[in-house]
Amino acid sequence: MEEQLKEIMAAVFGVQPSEIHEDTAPGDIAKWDSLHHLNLVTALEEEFNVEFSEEEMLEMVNYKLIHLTLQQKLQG
Amino acid sequence: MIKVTEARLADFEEVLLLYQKLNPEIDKSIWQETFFDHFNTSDTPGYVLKDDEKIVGFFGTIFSVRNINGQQVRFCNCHSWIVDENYRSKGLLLLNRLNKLKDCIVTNFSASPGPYEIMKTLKWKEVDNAHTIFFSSPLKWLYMSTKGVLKGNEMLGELSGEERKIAEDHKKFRCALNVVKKGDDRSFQVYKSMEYFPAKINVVKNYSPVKFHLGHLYYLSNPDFFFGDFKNNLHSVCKKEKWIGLVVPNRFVKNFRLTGGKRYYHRRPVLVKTNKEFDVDRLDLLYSEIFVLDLK
Repeated sequence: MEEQLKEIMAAVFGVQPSEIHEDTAPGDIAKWDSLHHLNLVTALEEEFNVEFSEEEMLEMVNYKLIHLTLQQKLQG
Repeated sequence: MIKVTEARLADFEEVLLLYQKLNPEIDKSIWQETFFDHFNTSDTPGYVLKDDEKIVGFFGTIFSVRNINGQQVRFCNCHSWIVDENYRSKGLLLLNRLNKLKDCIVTNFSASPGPYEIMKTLKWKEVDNAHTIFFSSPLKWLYMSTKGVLKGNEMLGELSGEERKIAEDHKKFRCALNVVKKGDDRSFQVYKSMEYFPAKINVVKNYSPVKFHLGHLYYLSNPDFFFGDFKNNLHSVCKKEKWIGLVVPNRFVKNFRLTGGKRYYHRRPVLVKTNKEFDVDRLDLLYSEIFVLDLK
């Protein structure tokens, strides 16, 4: 799942998957603004067939939290 | 805490403050119309973005259920997206709520450049961005009968149940309705009249005693009939309505070989977001802010 997550983030933000790591946050990627954040959330919802609440969307502010939230969703 | 909820009618006064920032020229009564009783639907008038209990953003919606080719189709037309400056980045949550509407065709007909770019990035489909003006000629009117163009009660008598509902729902707004009939064939149309001056003589527009008008076609029930005999229908409708031509969205005439029109790109692209199977070329602009806010 981690690899897939990095690939989706890379595709949405227009960077290489290798540039996404544990500590990656919006300040590290020029294209990571609120619009691309929404685009990322939508892409994750489609890819993993999950749905994030607005609260979760606002809390997913870096790779670590996105990963954690997604993991919790997938574990049901 | 930031959250998005359905707007309640009681939210109007607070939303009005945002509305007036969006467009101070539009009268309070018009905004009231968009909020309260536009098309007799009981659905929410929009979604609000709240910081605790304070409303800091709004996205207006007009829901409608239409019978299209024998199927019930639910539409949500969204309009008037406004967010307090301090919450701009959170305003996308409102759009996200619309993106997630299920079993619904979500449309937008009046996006300004910023929202247009956002919607395109979020994979809204641009259905159409051009119109064609077909000019009529008063010379043709000399031998053109308008018997087949019905209005008022004569028109109402010709309408099916669904068409009658459309006519009833739209007649209070500034629009023109007619039926064109020939033998057993007929088509029901909804237009808006728009003032027109050819660019070359636009300079005298304000001084001219003569006003020219075009009929902007927003809906028609039977494209095969209407465009199948378009030249005759064009001239007879224009004679009846006293228009110098018709403006037709390009998607309406994609499958017809019509000549002599003047194509132009408009500033209000038609955007749609849906997971449903739907022929977007048939997408019309009924039940939208185009009528409620009297947009051109």
